[in-house]
Formats: sequence, C-alpha cells, structure tokens
Amino acid sequence: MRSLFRTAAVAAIAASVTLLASESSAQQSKKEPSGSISGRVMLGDKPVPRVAVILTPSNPVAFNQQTTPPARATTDEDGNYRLTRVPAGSYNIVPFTPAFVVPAETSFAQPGKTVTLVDGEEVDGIDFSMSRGGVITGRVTDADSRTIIGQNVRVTRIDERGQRLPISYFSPFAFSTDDRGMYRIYGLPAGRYKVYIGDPPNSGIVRFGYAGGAYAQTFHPDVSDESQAEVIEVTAGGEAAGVNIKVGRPTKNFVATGRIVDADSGKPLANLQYGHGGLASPDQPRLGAFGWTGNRSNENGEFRIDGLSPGRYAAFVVATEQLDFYSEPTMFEITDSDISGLEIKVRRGSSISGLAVVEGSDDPDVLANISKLELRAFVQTEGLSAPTMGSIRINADGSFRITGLRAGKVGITLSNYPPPPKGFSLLRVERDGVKQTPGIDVGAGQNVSGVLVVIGYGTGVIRGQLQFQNGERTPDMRFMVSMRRLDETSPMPVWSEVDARGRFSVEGLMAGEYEIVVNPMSGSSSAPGAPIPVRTPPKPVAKQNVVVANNSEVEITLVVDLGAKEKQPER
Amino acid sequence: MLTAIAVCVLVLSSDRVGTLAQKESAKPRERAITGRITGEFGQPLAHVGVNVRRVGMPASGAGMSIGTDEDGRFRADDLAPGMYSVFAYAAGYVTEADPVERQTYRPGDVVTLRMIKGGVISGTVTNSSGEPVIAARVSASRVRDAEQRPIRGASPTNSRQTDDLGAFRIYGLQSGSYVVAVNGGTAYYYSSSPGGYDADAPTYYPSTTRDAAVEITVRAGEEVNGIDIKYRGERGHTVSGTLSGVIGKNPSRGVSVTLAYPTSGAIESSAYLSLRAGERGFALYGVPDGEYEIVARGNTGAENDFASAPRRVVVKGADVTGIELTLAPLGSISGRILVEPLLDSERKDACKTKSGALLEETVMIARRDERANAKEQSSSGDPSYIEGAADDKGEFKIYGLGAGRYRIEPRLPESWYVRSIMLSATQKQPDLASTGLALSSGQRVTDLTVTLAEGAAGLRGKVVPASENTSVPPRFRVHLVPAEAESADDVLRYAEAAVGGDGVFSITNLAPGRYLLLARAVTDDEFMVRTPRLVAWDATARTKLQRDAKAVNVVVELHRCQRLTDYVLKYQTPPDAKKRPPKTNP
Repeated sequence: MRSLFRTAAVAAIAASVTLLASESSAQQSKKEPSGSISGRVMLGDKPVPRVAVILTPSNPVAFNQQTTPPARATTDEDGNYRLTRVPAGSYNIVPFTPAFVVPAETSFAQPGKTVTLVDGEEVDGIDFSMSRGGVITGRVTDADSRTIIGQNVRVTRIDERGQRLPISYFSPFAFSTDDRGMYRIYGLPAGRYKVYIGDPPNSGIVRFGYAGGAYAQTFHPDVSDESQAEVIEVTAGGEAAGVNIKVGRPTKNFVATGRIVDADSGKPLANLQYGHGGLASPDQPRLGAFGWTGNRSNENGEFRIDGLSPGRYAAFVVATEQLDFYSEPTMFEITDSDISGLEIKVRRGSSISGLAVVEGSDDPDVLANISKLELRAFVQTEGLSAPTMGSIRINADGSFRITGLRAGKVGITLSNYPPPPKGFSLLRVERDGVKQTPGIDVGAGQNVSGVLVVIGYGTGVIRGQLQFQNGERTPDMRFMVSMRRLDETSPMPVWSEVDARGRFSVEGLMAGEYEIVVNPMSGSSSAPGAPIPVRTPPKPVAKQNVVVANNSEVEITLVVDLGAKEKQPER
Repeated sequence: MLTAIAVCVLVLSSDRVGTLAQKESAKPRERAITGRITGEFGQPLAHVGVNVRRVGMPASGAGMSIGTDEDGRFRADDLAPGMYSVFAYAAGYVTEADPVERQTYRPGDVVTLRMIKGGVISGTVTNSSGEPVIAARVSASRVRDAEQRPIRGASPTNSRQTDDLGAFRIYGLQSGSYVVAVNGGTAYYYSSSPGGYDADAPTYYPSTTRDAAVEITVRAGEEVNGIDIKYRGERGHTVSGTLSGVIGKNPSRGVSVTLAYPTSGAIESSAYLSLRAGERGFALYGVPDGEYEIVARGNTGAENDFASAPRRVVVKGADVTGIELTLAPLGSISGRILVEPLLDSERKDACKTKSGALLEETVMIARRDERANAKEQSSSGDPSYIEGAADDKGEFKIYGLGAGRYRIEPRLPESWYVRSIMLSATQKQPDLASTGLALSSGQRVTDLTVTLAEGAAGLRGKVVPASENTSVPPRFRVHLVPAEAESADDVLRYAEAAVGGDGVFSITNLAPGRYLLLARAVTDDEFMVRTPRLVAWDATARTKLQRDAKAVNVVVELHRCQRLTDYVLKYQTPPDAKKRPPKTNP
C-alpha cells in the first residue's frame, strides 16, 4: 500500500514536469525530427549484439497515451546502437535484456537512463554496462503437498547485515507459479535474497471482486517470520535451484454488508456505485489502497463487500463522474467474522461555480484550448473523506461548476490526467477579486458562485546544464530542477528531470522571472518486494534566477558542489 | 406410437447438452444458492473463488464473490429473486463442462461444479540465431472446441511470458484446438514497462502468420510439449485513427477498439481508451498484413452503450492512419411479459399445485439471427446474444444491441410456455417468433409484449435404436413438431434439443398439445456450427420437418402441466431420407 502511494506521487510529479516535452514531440514530429541518441551496450568488456534498445517518453502519462509504438534500435555486432529521428523531449533509454541487470539510472530509478534532448540534437555516449542476472527457481506447495498454482513469488534483497535493499529487476509480474507449482525468477542482481509468496502481515492489500484463498506471507522454506527466512545467495549468471516454499492454509475471507442511506431522511439509496479501501495505519483515518468492483447498491440501498481479510477498512460511495452529493465513509474492522449493519451516509454537497480565464495570450486558437482543460477540486477536511475520481470539465465559454463538495477549504487545481495542452498552468483562484489560498471556504450546503480560475499560458523555454564541482556525479545521483515564477500569483513550480548528461529543460513557460533550484532525489524503483527507502527531504543544492520571455529560450548553467557531503542524495 | 417403458435414465438436469453442472431439488422462495466445487476426483476444492451474478442485469449490483470452505462448499445468501450464473475460479482448473451458453440457477438451487485440471501447452521461443527469446508474451487462442467446432471471435485467453531460457508453459486450457502466438492479439494488455517486442507482428506456431498457423489440440488434463516457435521478429504496422460521435453519458467509461478477422471474428488486436477529456486518438501496434474489420465499442452491457459501425481495414506493407470511427448509441429492446394464469377449472391433476414461478426468473434473450439476411451480418465484435432480466412487474430491457435481426428467446421457469411475441403497438404485425425483429442502428424498440401461459409441459427421454440390429447416428437432434394442421406454421410450437452421447434429451416449456416426435441425424456440416439456428425458423425447413415427422409418425400428446419422463424414442429415418442424408438447415 505504501508503494502504491509512492507510485502515485511519482506519477504526479512526472506529469507536471515532462508533459511539455512530450507535447512538443507531437508538434515537432510534423517536420521530421532529426535528433539522435547513440551509445554502446556492454556486458563486462564484451559488446552485446542484436538486442533492442528502447526509447520511451520519460513521462509515464505520456507513455500510456502515446499513439506511436516505442521507438527501438538494435545493437550491431559491436554492441553499438543509434536511435534516429528522435523528436525533442525527455526519454528513458533502456536495452531490452531481461536476463541481464541494467543499472537503474533513470530519473525515477528505473533501469536505463534518462536523456533530454532538443530538436536536432545528436546525443552520443549513452552507454550501458550490464551484468548477468541470477536465477532463483523452486516449487511452491502446501502442507498437504498440493501444488500452489498461479501465485506470485517475490523476493526481498538484503545486505550483509540483513537490512533490506532496494531492488529493481525485470518484469515483476511474470514470476508466478505454473500448474506444477514451479516458478523461475531471473534477471536478479547478484546478492542475497529472501523468497516469499503471499501478503505481508498488515499489508493493507485490498482485493476486489475475488474471494478465493489468499496466503499469508510465507518465506522459503516454510516460515512466516522474515528473520527466520533462509537467505539465498545469487551470483551473476548463477542459478539457485530448489528454493521451495511450503505454505500454510489460505487465510479466510470475510464479508461486510450494509446500506447506503440519505443522511437527512434515512432513506436507502439505490443504484450507487460503492468501493472500499484499507486504512493506511491503525491510528490514522486515511485511505491506503482503494478501489471498487462496479457493483451498485440494490433497490434497498444494500451493499456488499466480499473477500475481506482481517484489517481496518472504510467503505464509501464512488463518484467516477460529478455527482451533487458526497458520502461519509464508514470505517469498520474485520477480525474473525463477517460484519453487517454498516451505513454509508450520503449528504447533499455544496457547489462552486464560476469562470476560467486564460492570461498571457489573446490568440483565439490558444484560447480555444480552454475546453480541453479539466479542473480538480480537493477538500481539506478533518477525518476521512471518500476519494474523488471525477474531474471537472470547463465549458467552451469558460464556465464551470463543481458539485457534491463537502464543507471545508476547497482547493482547485488543473487536472494532470489527461495532461493539459502545452503551455497552460494554473495561476490563481480568485473570489470577489481576492486570491484564495490555500482554498475557498465552503459551508455545508452552500453554493458559491463567481469564482474566477486564472490559467496562465506561455511559450518561454528554459534549458540548462548542471556542472559538478569537487567530485564526479555517479549514476545513482539523481536531480530534479524546479522553476518557480517569482510572482505572487504563481503558486506551483514546474519541474524538470535532469538527464544522464546533466541536461534539463522546460517549455511552455509564462513570461516572467523564475527561480531555478536543483534538488537531489532519492528513492528506488517500486518493484514488488522492494522496500521503500526513507525519502530524504530534498535540499536545494544550487539556485539561480532567470528572466523568461515568450517565444524565446534561455540557456543556463548551474554548478552543483558535490564536496558538500550532506547535500548528496542518500542511498 | 407412445412407448412408455420405465428405463433407468441418467437425467441431466440441464437441457443444454454438455453441461454437467447439476441442479438438485429446488424449493421455492429460497434466498440462497449453495453448492460445492470439486476437483476431477470429486475431492473438494477449498478456498476457491466463486462468483454468483444475476443474469441479464445491466451494469452491476448483482454480483457477489464467495470463497469455498475447507469442504469446497459455498453459500451465496440474500439473493433477490432472479436467475444467476455461477462461476468458479481455480487457477489451472477449468470447468469439466464446456457449455456453449452458461447454465443459470435460481435461489434455492444446489450447484455442484466439477473442475478438472486444464490442458497445458509448453515449448520454447528462439530467434533466427537460435538464441532464446526472453520475456516474450506467448498466448493461446481457442479456435475450436473439444468437438472440433470452430469458435467465432477467438481471442487469446491464456498467456504466459517466456523465461530466461525462452521456455513457456501455458496452463489451464479448456479442451479444444489452439493457435499459439508470440506477441499475438494484444487484447487488453497493459504494460507500464516497455517490451522488446511491443510493435512486432505476432509469430504463430511454428513460425508463421495467422493464416498458416498450425493448430494444437489439447484436452483438459493433458500436456502438449515441444511447441517450439521460431520467432520472426518482424515489425508490424500501426493502425490508427480517431473516434467521433456520441460517447454516452459517462465519458470516463471508456471504449475498446478491436481489430478482427472478418470471417472467423478472431481478434487480432485491441486497445482500450479511457475517452477522458477529449482523448479521441487510438492506435493498434504490431498489426500484420491482412484484411480486418475494426470496431469501437463501449461495452458495459448497460443503458447508453454505444459503438461504431464496423469498418474494413486493409493493411499491406504500411501503416494505416486516419481511420474515423463514429460512435452512435446502440439499440435496445424493452417490453413486458404477461402471464395468462390457469383458470380455476384448469387447476386439476398435474396442475393442482401452484408452480410458484416468478417473473424475475424470466430472462429475455435477443439472439442474433445472422442467416436471415447476409447484409445484416453482425460485426465480429458483437455478442451473439444479449440477455435482459425481467423485474417483478415483468418489465425487461435488453441493452447494447447493434443493428441486425434478432430472435427473441425467452428463458422461462419450467411451468410457463410462450404464447406469443408481438409488438403491441402494431397488432397486425405477425408474431415476431416467426420473423424475428430487425433493429436498425441505435433503434429502441420499447413495446414488445411477450405473452406467457401457465401450465407448460415437459418431455424427457432417451433415443434408442429401432431394433437390436440397427444403430443410431452419432449425432442427432430431437424435434417436436405440432401435430395439429392449423399450428404447422406456429414457430412457438416447434421445439428441439440436442441429444447427448447417452441418447438422453430433455425439452421443457412446451405448450400443451399434440406433437410429432422426430429424431433427426445432424450432418457434419451442421454439427460444426456451435450455436445453430433453430431449424423451425425457416419456412422451408419447417415444411420438411413436418413431412419427415409425419412419415415417422410418432405422436405424443402433452397435457397441461404434464412432465413426461423416461420417454423412449426409437430412432427411425423417414422413408425418403434413407437414400440421402437429411439436410434441413441449408
């Protein structure tokens, strides 16, 4: 569940940073892009011939939505590759060699490297030094020697002291047991591993629509206590066979039932979609992983949630589109039996309506984009809120209306999914000419009108290069650059990744003065089984102010002092 | 000639042959469906997920998932009246039966589902240099059932990735024939990490394209090894375009775009689009050369569903761009069920006890009738039938229907039979049972009236050779043909059922009356159609049925509420059919 959160956070940052680049790729592609990226793929001192090297936009949102397949080059007999006709943008480059270990050096610690290039740039020397992966294989059975089929087997990597290490290996979803109970995990970095199946205790793992058996976390050979797990040594290119696991009985699942009712009248409400989620921690009323099956309350307002393992949960009404009401999630705990009589209360919500306007352009073609923008509203409340999935469309005339709001401070942002067109960012939200930070106070049942959402548009570009002093940048040092407009109306900085060469860029900036700050990043990939390292708060390592004008480009160089030890990203 | 001999017959509870799920005694007004999931040896399958879902309901609110206990038992409680499907999921297992259409149950039924170990196909994938192809997706599409009948709209249902040795092992396969492909049919396949083969055209076993793919036949419980594939690694083409038109009320629901082979309906590729905020572009990668049909469909089985008209796409050596798929609302058929109760004077003998049948236990099925007019042939993505459950007032609605001709097929409680199916607004309209109902694109038919009557009869029995030194053909169907001359063209009076290998047949929901019984050999061609049209739908075929049935002249009179069981039907060929094989379904 923690990993789920983290993935979401990463995606959000990435979206705000790089969609500009991908948008620009789309435009550039019309005039036949001429950029290229080349390098060499090596295994030790031997070149790796005939492998695919794949280029994908580094922004995961853009990757999901792209309408062209990922670009690909194949290495020649000397291991050299060359990706051509690459549009300007930020990309992840990775050799597709699943049985080998590719160092995780992209901005978000995925295998491969990040490269940001401008139109027509020829980038050379994006080399990869790989090592052979190791293999762990074995069989999973239960206490009665029956084969366990179709269950994922996972590993955790540990150091000499038994501490968990982050791992990143290929294809985390492929390693499930087959009909003989056999599994085979490959492409593992050399090291020490513990192998397990099942869910860690209190993992908050939530299943939807499936009530079959789930297994409690069981390590090789047959223990639930991680400290008792046998450690498997994996060498580069080696194979650890016979790593069998014997699991216990599947854990029993339970059912929660109840009704969805109108909080005022007490009347049952039919045909509402409901969902549930695990509570993030025992003492915090915050949702961890959540979801829904699509099931709706029946004519008596009744709902039913299947497949619950012991733990703390909340159930709520799911709003995938704008509704004019909100629900108060009901919290419950499953211990050793089914639970019934739950009640999800639904209340008529408040609303906010107003106008969205664009600042920074009079061009009708630019202004026409307003209906492609979507807003999101966040209500800051005490206690537990139902998640809101819907985003709010802006009409062609700029008008918008947000309904079904809980009372509280309502913050409004531009939705990042799908990405807004290039150059647009939220400047401020006003009510009666007064800027509303951090949000608009909305009372219960209140309809707030006349809210002005000001969206900025710009075409300025900042490109930059990091230079390093008092040390050499190692591949595991990753940086993000934030660019904040020095104008009280610009609340959010924009972010850029720093690529393997120390390059970064942002397009579509509004004219104005910006403060540029380089921040170190830490963290690792979120492969299953990988522990999530404690995230060090980013400390700025370099700073500079620049002035950006529309339709122009600023090139800057920032110097990062690697001598100051405490400023380095922690491993 | 009615021969009433008591024979010991293994009575299949279902009238659908091939279904071995057994229904035991049903008590009225029960609220639970209970049952047991067992393995091939009858051993309980513990902690298996069982999904119980109301049939013919749009969207949801009708499903629940239960785990079996240590003894393989499950209990789905608090069910509203209605018909339910029961589906068990046990990794690596398949249901022993392979029903063409699912079996349904009502609260009170006790269900035993026997699951058997699915079949296995294993092998390796190597490239032209003989090196293993690693982390490639290998999928199996079931193109024929266990009887070798082609399956329309086959799509890759089971897929696995090759390991670092290039080895793959696809398990949990239902008996049948499969084509196996590396990188085939990217149906609903999401990948957050790029694959090395993403835009490659699929390579089919042994190392070929789809049209030359070698089929692999596997039976549940068996393994076929050595399915070694030489990967071609050819770049496929991209088929892309935009969606336009109406996208329904809830744009967040999404649309799937499917590329299929027009003749087999086999799915080559499909993609899912969220349609959020003006997202209208689609692209399917890795498409090999070929002729396809492309269709976009918002397929939730609910009101306000929408789809595009299918379009032909020819891919030949290059990408195909700029395809515009215009979405339009799908059609629906709604209406009402009326039940003519028995008169008090008719409540005697077999009809003495009230059946307790409920309107909610009625499911209306709109079945595509493709042979009626070739021009109305459905697009490959369209389901062959859609169900709509009736509510307690008898009102029903069948959503998501594309343009085409449909037959209305009520699935009824045993005590009811169909009197008529009419468009009530136009009383002159002939009974739709004999003509079917032609639906234009997006048409909403709202006034269908299905009149049912209480007191249905049923007939169960067994077909045996006419004498000791004759035999029965390997496959045949039993037909009930109305014996009264004035009913000769009343399609609703015709009934038919496939006969199982043991000769047992069962026909329910029959109007009381006199029938001619005919056991008719099924030709090989006819048998190859998995979902045959009812023979009586064609006027010429009806005439032939009449003639053949009269020639054999086995008459049975079924009274109101009568359940004739243990009926023994001697297999006889009609006099003129002895020279040539019967051909009633041209």
